[in-house]
Parts: sequence; C-alpha cells; structure tokens
Amino acid sequence: MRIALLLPLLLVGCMTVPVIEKFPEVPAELLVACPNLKLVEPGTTKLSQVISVVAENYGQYQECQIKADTWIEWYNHQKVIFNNIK
Amino acid sequence: MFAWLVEHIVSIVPFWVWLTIACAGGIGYFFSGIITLIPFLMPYKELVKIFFIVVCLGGTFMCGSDGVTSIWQEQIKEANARIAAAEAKSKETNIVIQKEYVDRVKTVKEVQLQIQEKIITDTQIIDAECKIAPEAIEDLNAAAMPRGKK
Repeated sequence: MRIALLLPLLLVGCMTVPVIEKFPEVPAELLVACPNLKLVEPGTTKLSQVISVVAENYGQYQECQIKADTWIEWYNHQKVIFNNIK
Repeated sequence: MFAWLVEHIVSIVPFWVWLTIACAGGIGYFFSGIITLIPFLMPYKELVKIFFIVVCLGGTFMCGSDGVTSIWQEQIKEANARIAAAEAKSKETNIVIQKEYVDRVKTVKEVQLQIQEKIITDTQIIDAECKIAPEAIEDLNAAAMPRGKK
C-alpha cells in the first residue's frame, strides 16, 4: 500500500524536456503547384502551332520535374539535419 | 503537477536556503532532547522530533531537486542550442536549394524561349507539307487533360 502511494510521487520526476522544434521552412517557389498542360486550339491545322504547344508543355514538364527533384533534395537534406539534432 | 510545483519553487528559492533548512532540521533533531526541556514543549517531545525529521528530509529533498532542476535546465539549454543550430543549417540549406532551383528553371525557360523562336523561324518549312486532322488535335488535347487531381 505504501509503495503504491509512493509510486506516483516517484513517477512525477519522469518528464520530457520541454523543447519545441519548428517544422523547417520550405522555399516559397516549391509551394506553387504545377499548372495544367496547355491545350492546342481546336480547329488548328498547322503543325507549327501544335509543335509550339507541345514544346511549351515539355518545358512545363521539365520545370515540374525540377520542382519534384528539388522537393526530394530538400526533404533529404532536412531529414539529415533533423536526425542530427538528437 | 508536483514536479512542476517543485521546479517552480526551486527556481525561486536559492540552494543555500534549502541547505540551511536541511541543516536546521538535522541540528534540531540532534538537540531535540535539549529543546524539549523547555517546559511548554515538554509534552510534545515526539512531535518535535518528527517535526525536525520532516524539516531535515524536506530540506534534503529540495536540495536534491535543486540539483536535478539545474541539470534539467542545462539539458533544455543544450537542446535549444542544438535546435537553433539545426534551424540555421536548415535556412542555409534552403538558400542553396532555392538558388539551384531558380538557376535550373531559368535554364529551362531560356532553352524554351530559343525553341519557340526556332519554331517561329521554321514555321513555313514545318507547315509546308503537313495539314493536321482535327481528330489529331482532339486526341492530343485528350492526352493533355488533367486527371487524378484533387
């Protein structure tokens, strides 16, 4: 009975260190969503116009690819930094 | 709650006070035989002894709490310093990543501009022997339509 009464008193010493870790900031550019692909004007018969839109879409894809790669790079870097805190 | 209360009291009262209380309790207990010779304390001989034991134990406990709290505060300081260093490193990394990203996108845009200019230059050659069927445009646009978006 005495031990049962003493236990809660002893356990109050088990506290975690009150330290707050903030979630790391992300570069603002990475928070912009990728736009939709551009569509060719219906009724277009010229191949040059189609190629122009397709080329633009390729460029758009490459930008989004860079963004995705950068997110992965950012995550890996931040993970290493976070794991080194402990 | 109890730990918080102890820590709060410890942070206000200096260590020497607890040491003095513990010593006073010990000395009081040691001399309780003499103290209880005082006529009005004589009937409370045992109570006086218990009182001094409690004072001594309480003082000793708080001395220990003071030490533990100091270690704890030191750990908090160290943890905060580690976090501050990590945050600084994180910001530095962000600057490098951001710069790399901007440079890479800039290169893509520059190349895109060159390609668009080349397409304009080659328009006559491209369009000379080719007429696109409307179905081809429909198929192409269908492929480019966004899907699976939230």
